[in-house]
Amino acid sequence: MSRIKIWNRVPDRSQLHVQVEGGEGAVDGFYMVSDGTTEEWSDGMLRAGQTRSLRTPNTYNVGLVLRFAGASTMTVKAHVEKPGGSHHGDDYEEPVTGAAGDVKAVAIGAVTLQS
Amino acid sequence: MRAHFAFAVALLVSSQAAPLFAQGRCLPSDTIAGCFDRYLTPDAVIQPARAEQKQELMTEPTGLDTGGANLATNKKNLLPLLALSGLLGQSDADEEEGTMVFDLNFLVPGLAEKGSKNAQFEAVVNTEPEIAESLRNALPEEDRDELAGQLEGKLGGLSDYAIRLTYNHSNRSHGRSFAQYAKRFDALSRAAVDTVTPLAKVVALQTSEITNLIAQNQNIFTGENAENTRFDALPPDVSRRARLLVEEKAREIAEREDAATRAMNEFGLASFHKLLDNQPQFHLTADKKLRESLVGPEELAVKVTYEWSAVNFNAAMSEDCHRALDVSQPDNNKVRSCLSEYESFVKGNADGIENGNRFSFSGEYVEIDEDTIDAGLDGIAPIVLEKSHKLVIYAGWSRDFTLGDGEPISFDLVAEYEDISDDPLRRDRGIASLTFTRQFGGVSIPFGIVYATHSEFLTDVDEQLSAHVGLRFNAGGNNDDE
Repeated sequence: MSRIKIWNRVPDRSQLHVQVEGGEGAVDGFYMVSDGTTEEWSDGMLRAGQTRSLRTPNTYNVGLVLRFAGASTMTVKAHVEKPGGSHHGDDYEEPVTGAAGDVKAVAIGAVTLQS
Repeated sequence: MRAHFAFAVALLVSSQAAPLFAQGRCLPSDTIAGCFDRYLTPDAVIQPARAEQKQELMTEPTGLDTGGANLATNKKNLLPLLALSGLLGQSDADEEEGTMVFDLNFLVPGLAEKGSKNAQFEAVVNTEPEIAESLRNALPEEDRDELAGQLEGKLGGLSDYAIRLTYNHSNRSHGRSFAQYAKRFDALSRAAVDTVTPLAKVVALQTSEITNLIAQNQNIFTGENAENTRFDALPPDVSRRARLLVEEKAREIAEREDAATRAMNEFGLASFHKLLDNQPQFHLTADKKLRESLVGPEELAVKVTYEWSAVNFNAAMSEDCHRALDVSQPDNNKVRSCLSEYESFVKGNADGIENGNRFSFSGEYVEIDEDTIDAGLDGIAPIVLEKSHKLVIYAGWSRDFTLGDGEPISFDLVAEYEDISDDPLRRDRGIASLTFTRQFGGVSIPFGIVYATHSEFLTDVDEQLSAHVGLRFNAGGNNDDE
């Protein structure tokens, strides 16, 4: 895995799920849609997990910032669920390890079907 | 001023690094993810971080009691004890061979609530009970094992068990679990990162340029997992454009990430976990041993432990800051002000954080019931044990010293006094233990001297002085070892 994940040709009305688990540290995120929508996601929101509906022809982008208080591993999990319930493409699960004071970024994107 | 200075440093470092980046690291044969990995190397920090974590675990005392005529340390962290007693949600890990542990929290209102992890009520059953040592010694030596085996065969399933209550006092200012301080770390670290870059927003923006390129060329990017697309699998004009774009975005994110990490270190947040290791902690264990007479007398033992170091997270900020930041959405101006307090404290106490004085105090009371152990065997007189009790007080001090460029030497001084009542075999005594522990790579070697005013049992020895050398290393290993 890598610290970037982009789903392509995502069907309309799919759902993007993003969650961060574990580690000694905190995380925050920025959610940005090509239609101009933006949201800031807090540590609490990301630990609980966030789900957003994906509509064509938008692109969706999430920047995650993991801040480490001690040497540990935070795991970023994300997947796209199609309207029928099956998953689109591969699920994303990236264990991000850092030492005390480290900052690590993770990029997540989803490109819906354009036509 | 701080933000400007830090940002200027970030720009300076970035500009110095630019020639290296400008050469380009990504290859036409790379995928989008592979190109990202050349800048945001996923594995580069894993081994050092694991090594650091392992080193911290090895240097962390294992929670052995400070008592007896052995080398002692009072620099123990109660977290391992809490883990063993299930307070950290790892109750499955404490099942020793020959014992069964039953969680009894459901019997006590409040303890059964989800998330209630600072108290544990449990029953510990010894599934392989043995007869009392005093009875075993009274058996004829030539038939001792056989007779002991016969007597142990008569013991029932509940002939040796204990009811145990473990309590760890954890609140906003006591305890060493990161979870207690997570909101404060979140607020401080986010403010530190924000002084140089709104990193999450930057990452989303950079990613959006890549997703826009994919959206505009979706007839070319045909896979569902676009990060696996190789640049050389795209038409030449798009291939070059995509590689340059992805590389530029990966580089930008990596530079901002580095700047953010430097800001975290500049503000002292790399020392956050060390301050937590110095937080005051209070631990209580009450143990009632219930036994059949053949196993030994019943006992009640209560032990309290308090540990503390002056250079701790409580002291790093005012109480006002601790309260204001321990919420989900603290006021930004307040956070910045508290971050400044925190930074000043860390910079002013750098030596204390690394090598500061640590203190521990504990008291243990043990009451042993009277008992008559009658084996019911011809020629073996019943053993009559009087009721007795013992009070043990411990006080300890520890500090690390660094000599030259070598690894620190840990210095531990532990004093103990045992007040024994009604036990004809033992007498009151004081014990002092002085221990130096030196790290040599992955091995720590403790050397120490123990002085006792008397030996533990009544003998003609008045004073006892002994020297010890030990060896401590991580024999457990883990699955991460490679």
